[in-house]
Amino acid sequence: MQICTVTNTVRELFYDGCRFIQRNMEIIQSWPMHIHCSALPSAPQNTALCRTYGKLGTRGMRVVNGLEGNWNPLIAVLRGHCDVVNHATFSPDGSRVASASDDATVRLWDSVTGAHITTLMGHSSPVQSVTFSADGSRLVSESKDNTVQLWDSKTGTRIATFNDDSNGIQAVTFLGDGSTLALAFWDHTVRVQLRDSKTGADVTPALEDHFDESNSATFSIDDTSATSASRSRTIQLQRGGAKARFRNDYCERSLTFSTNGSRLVSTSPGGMACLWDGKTGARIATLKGHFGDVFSVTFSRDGSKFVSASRDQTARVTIENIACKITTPIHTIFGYNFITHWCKIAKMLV
Amino acid sequence: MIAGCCLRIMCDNLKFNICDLPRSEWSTDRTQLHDRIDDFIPPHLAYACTYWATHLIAGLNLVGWNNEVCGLLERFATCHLLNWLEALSIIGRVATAFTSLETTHAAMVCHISCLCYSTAFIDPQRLGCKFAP
Repeated sequence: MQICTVTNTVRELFYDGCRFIQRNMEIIQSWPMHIHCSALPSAPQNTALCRTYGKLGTRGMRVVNGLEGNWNPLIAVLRGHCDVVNHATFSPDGSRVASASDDATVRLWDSVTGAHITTLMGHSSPVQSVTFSADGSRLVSESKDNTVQLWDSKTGTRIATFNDDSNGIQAVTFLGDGSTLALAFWDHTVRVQLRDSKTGADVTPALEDHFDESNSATFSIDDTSATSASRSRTIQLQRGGAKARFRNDYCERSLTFSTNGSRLVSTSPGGMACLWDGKTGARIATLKGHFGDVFSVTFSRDGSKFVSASRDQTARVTIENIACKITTPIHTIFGYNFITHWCKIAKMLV
Repeated sequence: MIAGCCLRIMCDNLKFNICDLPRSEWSTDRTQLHDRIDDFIPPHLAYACTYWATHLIAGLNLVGWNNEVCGLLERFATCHLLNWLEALSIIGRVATAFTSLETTHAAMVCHISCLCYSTAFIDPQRLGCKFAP
C-alpha cells in the first residue's frame, strides 16, 4: 500500500482558501489584482494562508493594527444594496438568501459563497419583505408602491404583479405548495384574499373582513381560515365563524405566529413577552427574563421553540413544554457582536 | 490522471499579475481586461483552472491518492492559490472556485482520517495495547 501524506498546512490552506473566497467574494469577482493587494493583507494573521502568503503583502496595503487572529463566525457580508435593507430570508434548502431593500430591488445571493446571483428590478418604491415558496422556485415581494410581485427565483424573471391602489397591501405569503398566494390588505378593515400564484386570478371569495383597529397586523393563514392579530392593545383572533377576543395588558411591540398558527408570541416594552394559544386566544404564559425591550421573535419550524432578541444584547431560546404550559429559558448569550449570535441561533433552530 | 496534468499546467503557467498590468492599472475592473485575456490565459490554462477539482475527485474515486498528486496539490496550495483566484477572476469563472477548494478539502480530511486509522492498525505496539489480554 502506498501511503502518501497531505501535510496539515496544505489542508489548512484549502480551508483558508474557502473562507477567503467567502469573505472577499466582491473583490475576487471584480478586481483581480486586489486579491493580492487588498484582500490578502486583511486576512486573519494566524491562518496558514497568512503564514504562507503574508510575506507578499508588501505588494499593496499593510494593516498596521487590529487584524483578526483567526476566522471569526461571520461568513460573508452581502454588499450591493444602495439603501437600507428591510428584510432578508433563506430559501427553504438554505442555499440562497433573498434580501429586500429601500433601493426598490430584491437581491438574490449564494448563501455559501456570498456571491451576488441576480437583482430583481421592477418595484418603484422600497421593498418591505420577500418570501420564498415552500419549494424555493418562486419568490414574492411586497413593496410600498402598493404592489406585490411574483418572481421566478431561478431565472429572476417577473411572473406577475398584483396591485390594489385603494387598499394598501399589508402582508403576503405563499400557501402550502406555493400554488396559492394569500394577500392581506388593510385600510380601516383587513381582508385576506387568495390568488392563484400563476395567473393571479382570485381562487376563492376573499376571507371575510375582520379587524377594526388597524395599527399593524400579522397573519397566520391555513387553507380554510385566517388568524390575525393587531399591535394595538387588543388582540383579536378570528377563525372560521368563531371570534376570540382577548386583551393584553401591555402594548405590543411585535407579534409573531408559529408556522402552523397554533402559537402566538407578543412582546412588550420592558422585556415582557406573552405566549398565546393562536387558535383560542388563551394566554399560556408570561415570559420574563430579558432586561430590555424585546424587538423580534422567531419560531422554529415545528413551533416548539422560539428565539427572542432583545435590546439587552441577549437572545434567549425558549422551549415550550406543551403538556405543562411551562416555558424554560435554556440558553442566554451575551455579546457585543449580538447580530452574529442571533443569526447563528436562528439558523440552528430552523 | 487528468487532474495531475491540470495541476501541472497551473503550477507551470500561473503567476502573479498574469496579464502584466502596469501598477497604475491594478485597480481596473476585470471587464476592461477583456481583450488581453486570450493572450495571457490560453484556453488550456483556463480549462485547468476551472475543472481541475472535478478531475481530481473523479480520479481519486478511481485510483485513490498517489505521491505525485499530493506533491502537486502542495505546490499549488503553497505557491499558486491566490494566482489561481486572480486567473479565475479574469476569465469570470469565480463561481467554481469555492466548490473546487471545498470538495478537495473534504477529500483530504477523509484521506487523512483513513490514514490515521490504517497507521493505527498496522502499528504493532498500538495493536498490542488494544488487543492484549
